[in-house]
Amino acid sequence: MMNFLFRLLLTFNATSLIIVIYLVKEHFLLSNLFPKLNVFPDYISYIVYFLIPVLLTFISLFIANALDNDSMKSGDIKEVEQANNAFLPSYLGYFFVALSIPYFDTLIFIFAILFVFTFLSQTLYFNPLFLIFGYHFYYLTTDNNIKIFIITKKQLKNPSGMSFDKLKRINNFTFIDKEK
Amino acid sequence: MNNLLAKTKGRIGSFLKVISDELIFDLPTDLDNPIEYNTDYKLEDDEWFAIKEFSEKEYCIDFLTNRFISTEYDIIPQNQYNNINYLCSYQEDIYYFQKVNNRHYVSKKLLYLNRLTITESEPIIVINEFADAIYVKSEDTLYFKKLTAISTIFKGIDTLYKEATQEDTEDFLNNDFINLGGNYDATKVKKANRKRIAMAMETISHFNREEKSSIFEYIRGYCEDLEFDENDSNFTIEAEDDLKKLLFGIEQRYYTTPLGNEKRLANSITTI
Repeated sequence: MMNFLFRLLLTFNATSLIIVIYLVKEHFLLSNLFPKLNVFPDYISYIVYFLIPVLLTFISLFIANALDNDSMKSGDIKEVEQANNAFLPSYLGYFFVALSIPYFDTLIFIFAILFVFTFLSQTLYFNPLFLIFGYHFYYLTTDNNIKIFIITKKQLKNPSGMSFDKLKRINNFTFIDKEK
Repeated sequence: MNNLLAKTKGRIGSFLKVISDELIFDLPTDLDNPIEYNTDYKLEDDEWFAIKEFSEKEYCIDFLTNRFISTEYDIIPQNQYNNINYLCSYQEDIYYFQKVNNRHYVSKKLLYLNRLTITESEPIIVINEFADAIYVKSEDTLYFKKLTAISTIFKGIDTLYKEATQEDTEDFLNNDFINLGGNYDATKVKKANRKRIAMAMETISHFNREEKSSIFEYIRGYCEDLEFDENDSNFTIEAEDDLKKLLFGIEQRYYTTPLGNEKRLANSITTI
């Protein structure tokens, strides 16, 4: 259950930038909601919008400590493949969609669809905000030829001797490395 | 890191991850004087049977020869909780196996005394004090106490079952549910039946009185030509074939097809 909620949060973090971009495009300011904030320049609103998913991502990293543990020993990994850039095409796609959405209700509808598909796609928890916190994305192939997805702060290049002691299981394909 | 896996039943049964970071079984301190497997040998409390060079045996499973990587195993989904064939705890390159039978699943009604309410407890699986089998990878040795407990974990390991000795055979034929007739006695029991006796003795030792009588009822239902005395409640065994029928019955090899109601005998058995 807790894992399910956590995955919802991760999915929201990965897709919420669409809403931010839409709001920026529409020049929707916080002062529209709270007239007292009129004194601040426009970009303050945009920064606040952007900080919300950043904050939620930070919280999700914190919650990840409570997930189920796994580990990999030296010699378990046969191949390592960088995946930092793999999310860029889909992310650019999100951005262009957000820029061309005409109405708020269209946004809600499109966001809902993207949310559901990102959640169900399992391997697609790519959230570029992880990069801000120093995390990188990698595909690892184990010694028994099974491919998994790892979010880690380490710079991985050489699979020999590589080990992870504090992996947290987000789902059966995705793991986050909480080793400092 | 310690990991507990469950192997599910069925043809496509797979290993699934249950939990991690828990010490499930302790390594017994008495593994240092292992006995090579021998059906006739009765283990002392502090002894274990051992099979050396286990990974080269045909009944060894790939799971033990492959490298153990916990991230490869999916988390066990809820609908598989009742479908566990056995558990395997991986603790520092040592694999501990426990066979899971229906008796390991426990769900009881609990009476809470301070509230005086009855609640059905959540189902649990009882973990035995000792594992049924222990595989130490660094020594490539499998330790176990009872071959029957692990024969569905390592398919084909029951070929190790040797035939019952003359003494065992006599003991078995002396059971009060057997009435020997027609000059048939322990000396006439052939090799195939001796093997079956060795297994049946193990099987029948787990039956209580009620189970025994229901198994006899079952055997009578399938083997009409096997003579049964209602008063003494025993079977008359006069030939090898009679004994074979009885032994198959004890192993519950007889079944009826759901369509067509055909009575059949299972030639070999695999738990699914």
